[in-house]
Amino acid sequence: MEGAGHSRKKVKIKRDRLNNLPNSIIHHILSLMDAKYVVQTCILSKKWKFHWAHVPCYSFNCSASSSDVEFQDFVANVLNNRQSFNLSRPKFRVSGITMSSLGKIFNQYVLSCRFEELDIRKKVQISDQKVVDRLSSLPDCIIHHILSLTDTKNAV
Amino acid sequence: MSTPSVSVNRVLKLKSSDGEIFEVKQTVAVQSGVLKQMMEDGCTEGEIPLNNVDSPTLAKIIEWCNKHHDNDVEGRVLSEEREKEKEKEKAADMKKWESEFIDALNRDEIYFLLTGSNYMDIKELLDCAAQKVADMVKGKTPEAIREMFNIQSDFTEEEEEAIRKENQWAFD
Repeated sequence: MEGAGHSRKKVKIKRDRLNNLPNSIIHHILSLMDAKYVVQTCILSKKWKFHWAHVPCYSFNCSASSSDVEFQDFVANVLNNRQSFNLSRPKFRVSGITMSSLGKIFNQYVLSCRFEELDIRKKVQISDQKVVDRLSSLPDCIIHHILSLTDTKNAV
Repeated sequence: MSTPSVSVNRVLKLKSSDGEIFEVKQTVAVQSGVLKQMMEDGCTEGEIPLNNVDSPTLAKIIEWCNKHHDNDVEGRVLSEEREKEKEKEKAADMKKWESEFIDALNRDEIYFLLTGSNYMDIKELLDCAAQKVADMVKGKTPEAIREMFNIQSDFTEEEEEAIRKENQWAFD
């Protein structure tokens, strides 16, 4: 970088502007992207290494993973590796998820209260007794949120 | 509908970082959380300096706010059904206008719009500009993103390899 000429440097600074956005705006932008691409930004540069771990809202899309197991692993990795010192709990959006994956994710992560708000882009049909058992031990706010996404006849 | 401190005909004088004065109706300016708060606190007399927003950016921001304001007040006395239909049409038109507005900007302009709308606390505009950048980045490989934003990797080869390994789960 030392060797870069003056004019070159000027151009670089100018073109780097989006890279120099305040962290809060970078995190806002990342929260609008699929979690997979968000995490991959860790490789961009030292400054970017941890941006992904501070995002206020993650969008997980099951179809971005090749299998349910891989998807569960991915969600687990994001949750385990995001910065725990960040006090505000993240929100999550999940789409294209199967009931069994959802159950496993609930079991492992929701119960440890790492979800503040879960937005499931799929009508949840609560008919499986095992799932009902898992769900019933969730914090009230999450149960209400899930019920609000559920067909009323199943919610009773 | 307006609060007592916001009147239809009164204007605010906004002063950009490079000293240009822009007059904006109070009813338009309420879209900015910062200006709304100032109006509620009754401290909008004289020029309001916006030290973090230059004049080309402020002009864009005001263009956005005027458009969204006009859209809100247009035709309010229609029948309910007709109104619903009209609402839908208007929302679609607005989406189209927004994407044309954003697509016409270069990266520098988007940068200033992001920081300006963040500073003035105009959530819809910030969201729209952030979505534009997210769409630009979405689905690109790390190499392509570096190229796009001219990000120089300051990792050594070994470090980059280590991070890839550490986060292998995200690169499968």
